[in-house]
Parts: sequence; C-alpha cells; structure tokens
Amino acid sequence: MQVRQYVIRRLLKLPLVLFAVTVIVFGLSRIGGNPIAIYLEHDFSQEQVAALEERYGVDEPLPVQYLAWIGGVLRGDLGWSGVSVAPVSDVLPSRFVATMELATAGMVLAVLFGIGLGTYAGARRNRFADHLTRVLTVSGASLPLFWFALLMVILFYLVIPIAPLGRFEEGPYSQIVHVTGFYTVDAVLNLNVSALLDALRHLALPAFVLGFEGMAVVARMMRSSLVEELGEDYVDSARAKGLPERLVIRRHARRNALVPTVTVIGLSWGVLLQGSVVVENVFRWPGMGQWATDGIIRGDRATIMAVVLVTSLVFLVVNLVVDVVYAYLDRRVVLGT
Amino acid sequence: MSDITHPIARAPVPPARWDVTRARLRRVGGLARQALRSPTTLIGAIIITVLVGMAVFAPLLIEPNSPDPYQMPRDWDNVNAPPGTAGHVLGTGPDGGDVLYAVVWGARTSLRLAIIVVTLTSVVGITIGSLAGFLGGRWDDVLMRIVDVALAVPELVMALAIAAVLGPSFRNIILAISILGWPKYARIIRGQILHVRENEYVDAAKVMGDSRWRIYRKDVLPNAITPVIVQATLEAGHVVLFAATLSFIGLAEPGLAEWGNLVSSGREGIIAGRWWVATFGGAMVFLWSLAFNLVGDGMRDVLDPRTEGR
Repeated sequence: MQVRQYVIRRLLKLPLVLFAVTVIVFGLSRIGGNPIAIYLEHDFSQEQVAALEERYGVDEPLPVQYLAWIGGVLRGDLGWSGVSVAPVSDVLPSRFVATMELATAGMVLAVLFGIGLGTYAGARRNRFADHLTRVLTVSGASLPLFWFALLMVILFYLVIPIAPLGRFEEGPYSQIVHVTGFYTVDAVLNLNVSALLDALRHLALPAFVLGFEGMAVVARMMRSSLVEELGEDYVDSARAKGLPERLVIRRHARRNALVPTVTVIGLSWGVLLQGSVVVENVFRWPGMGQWATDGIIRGDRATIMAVVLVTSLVFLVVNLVVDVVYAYLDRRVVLGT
Repeated sequence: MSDITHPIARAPVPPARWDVTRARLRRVGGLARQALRSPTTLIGAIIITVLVGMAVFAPLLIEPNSPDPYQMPRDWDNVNAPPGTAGHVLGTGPDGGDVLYAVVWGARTSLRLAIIVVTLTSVVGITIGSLAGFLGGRWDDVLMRIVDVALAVPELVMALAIAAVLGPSFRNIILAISILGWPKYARIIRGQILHVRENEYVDAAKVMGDSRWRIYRKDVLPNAITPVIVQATLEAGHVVLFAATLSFIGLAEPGLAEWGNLVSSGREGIIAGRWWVATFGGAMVFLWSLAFNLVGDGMRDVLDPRTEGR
C-alpha cells in the first residue's frame, strides 16, 4: 500500500472517532440531573427555562436531543459556566491558550532533554550514566505528578522562594498588547523585556514539572532505539572508515533512532495535555485543567464537558499528525497494516 | 548426542497432564529467577512484597476503624499534629485523621483497587481482543473500531468526566478506570493472536479436527498471553497512580483511607509548613507505582529477548 493511501485511510477514520467522542460527551451530559442544567444561569425565569427545554428538545428522543446539542456546540453554545459566571464559549479561548502555552513549553523541554539524555545514555550503554538515566526514566514514569508538583511548590515557593504561582503579575502583563494570547509570544512581539521575564518566571517551574514525565518517556525510547541502531551494520562501516564515535552517533545512528522516537513524542504530548489538569491545579495556572477541576468541586458540568470535548479534539488531531508523520518517516508502518 | 531422534520416528504420545503442568511451573520458576537476577527487578519485587504484605495484614498492624475500616479514624483533639506525637507516629491531618492509618490502610485500598480493576479490564479486554483476532472478518472490523475510539480519547480527562458525572466516590473512580482500561488488553491480545495463528501447530491442530474453542484454549491463548501478563503487571501500578490522581482532584469521598486523598487533604497545610500529610501519601503512591514498573520492565526483558539487557 502506498503512503498516500494509508494517510487517506487514516483521515477517513477521523469522522468516526469524532462522532464517537461527541456521542460519549453528549451521553455523559445526559447521565443524572437535568439535561438542560448546563445552560442554566442563576437568575433564569420559568419562561426562559421553558424556552431552553423547547430549544434543546428535552422531551424528544435522544438522537433528536443529540442533534440539538451538537448544533448548539457548532454555533459555539457550550452552556453556562457556573465557575466563571459567564458563557463557556466566552471563557474557553483564554483558558485554551493558557493550557497550550504550558503544554507546549513542557513539550519543548521534554523533547530537548529527552533526546539529549537518551542519546547520552544510549552511547554509554551499561555504564554509570546509563544506569542513572534508567533510574531517572523509571522514576519519571512512576512519579505521581500531583505530588511532584506539590514538592516543587514546597521547594521553590516556600523554601527557596524564586518561583511565583499563577501565570503573570498584573503590572508587566497589563503593559503589553495581547495578540496571540501566548504571554511569552506576546511579550516578544511587544519587545517588552520585563513582561517576557515575568512570563518565563511563571512558566518555568510548571513547564518543567509537566515536561518531566514526557522527558522520561522520550529519553527511554531514544536510548533503546539508539542502542538498536548502534548494532546495525552501517554503524560498523562508518566506524571502519575511521569516523570519530561522536560523528558516528550524531550523523548516522541518532538520525535513524529519532524515527521511532517521533511516535513517542506524539504520545507524550497526550500525556502532557492530561497532566496539565493536575499541574494547573497545583500551580494555579489559569488554563482548562484548573477550570475543569474547579468545575468538579462546584458540580459545574458545562465547564467539565467543554474541557473534555476540547481536550479530546486536540488529542485526536495530535494523534493524527503523529500517525501521518510517522508513515512518511517509516514506510514499514504502512506495509505492516 | 544419542538422544536426538528423527522427529517422525517419535511416537505422538501426548505427555501426561501432570508433566505439562510441572514443565510449565518449572518454566515460570526459571523465568522468575532470571528476572530477579536484575537488581532493579529484585528491588521492585521486595517493595511489592512489603506493600502487599502491609495491605493483607493491615487489620493486624493497626486496629481497624469501625464501622468502616476504610475510613480514617478522627482524633478531633489532635488536629494537625506533627509526626512523633504520642499515638500518631506520622502525625495527623487537618481533620484529625491519623496519617499512619491512612498509609497502612491505603495499601489495602490500593490492593483492592488494583485487583478489581486489573481483573475486570483484562478479562473484558482478552475476551474482546480474542474474538476480534480469532474470528476475524467483520467481527474484527467492528470490535477494533470500538477499540480505536476508546484508545483515541484522553484517559485521564475522560475518567475525570465519568467520575464527576456519576458523583464523587471511590466506587465511581474504580468504575471510570475500568471502563477506560480494557482496550489496551484487547489490542495487545489481538495482535498476538494474529501472529500465533500463523504457526504450524495451529494448522496441525486444525487438521487433527480439533474444535476452534479447543485450538484457542490449548494452542493459541497460552502462546499469546505473555505480553498481556506484562501489561497487567504494569497496569497494577498504573491504576493506583491513576486513582490517586482522581482522588487528589477531589473525586473520592473525604476521609477515605487512600493515598491520593491523603495528599489532597494535606495540600492546604503545606503553605503553613505542615508537610507531613501530603508527603507521606504521595511517597506511598510513588513507591507502589515504581515497584510495579520495575517488575513489569524486568518481566518484559526476560520474556522479550529482543530488548534483553537494554
């Protein structure tokens, strides 16, 4: 099968999964409680409630209700967020951008350090650095993120107070024009150094905590695929022609070892996106994760469902991109299916 | 060299039942010894033994709270007591809950959770994956599309939504994790079965007229199950971490003797310097999860020679 055919088949799967995800979220929003509760504001009159019941067809069969619901979603009507005291769709964009900024920063750290550490350990197989990396990566996969985040808060907020909680200080944040919503990017666009420093100061610790698990996963994969590549014949011939070991690794082995690592990078993006729920909660980062956990405490289903829906969509897109990229990088995947 | 005979010359006498069992036991024992030779696996196994022992003997170690032993006993006269207080070796939380009690009985909560969730998810996953892999055709298409969807949704966020909708309780956490856990097993066992099916001994069994069920039970499943066992070991660690995360977020009932809950109840006190509640709770989750990861990795190294020594 051609790569193009594989990609098309993979794309055709997307609508099915999308549909399934919306059905799951819709189903969850109908379990227990009044189905229109998510649209209710505090001061609604009887007539307004009746109008809502009419609009979302609570007496109609479920498929009709689903259509009314998905129609609302497509128009941007995701209900009323009791936590934010505003329509969900008004608050969602800023929450989404905040989460994306944190997750992207975490991902960059995870990829850079993961590949670096994995290469370092793989090239020194079964030596001390390798064992140390192994301990670090296994711990990374086992560490409860919420606990790690709390320990870091104890260390860098209480003991050595250098890391602030939250996302920004009012002063520098209000000095700049917000174009993209990414505080770091906007600070650069405004050429405002104090805002950029403020952004980085707030971002550094949560991004490190969030990226740690992803780093462990990437490093582990990078190490094992580098070890595998170093056993191949082409590496022997590169060594035989007198290439220094450093270049053998950098020019030959590492390049091939990166191919399987791409998949893991995609997977850890999903891990990071989910980890942000916990990290935002601990660091008071005003993203979707903190929003959802606030929603849980207040029983605010509209907020929870909106976050679940958006997170699932991002997750699907990331998985799709990873599969497609991987298919182009390694055609054996395509031949295997 | 004299014991090598021509394969056709050997009479096809099936070995006695006991011999098969003994051979299998010897093989498992050999593999276990081989796995435990690695120091990391050994450390993991020791931690698991201690934690599971703590869980099993919890009623002997600390007198169970009545009526519900999974609820922490409250000592309202000794709220926020630091470690070392008389009667509270590891201190108490903001509601007077004894931290040591939650640590010990939390092991029991975790063991119970791991057994329930891993059993449920692996049985469902193995059944569905086997049907898809062994029956093939349309069965395979339909079942695997369901698995695709289930694996395409973000696990934590979905579990959070399920548990939130059903209402905060530990039972609902177990339910949410179980609903989301089975597709992993289904995918693994299906892939294995597709692979094992191609073996000649399966064809041989077909030629001999064995029923499909017998072929599945005798020839296919035993040869396909190993990666599932590794996965189940890793999952026993993962589900406890997962559940602790959900109860940390606030989805467990307050006062439950569970490690994530302990961290959650201790987090507010951290700012005031009361580090002990959250620290001990989180350390237990870490140990549990680490131990199962170490042993699962060790098992994979032994069972999958491709990654041996890596």
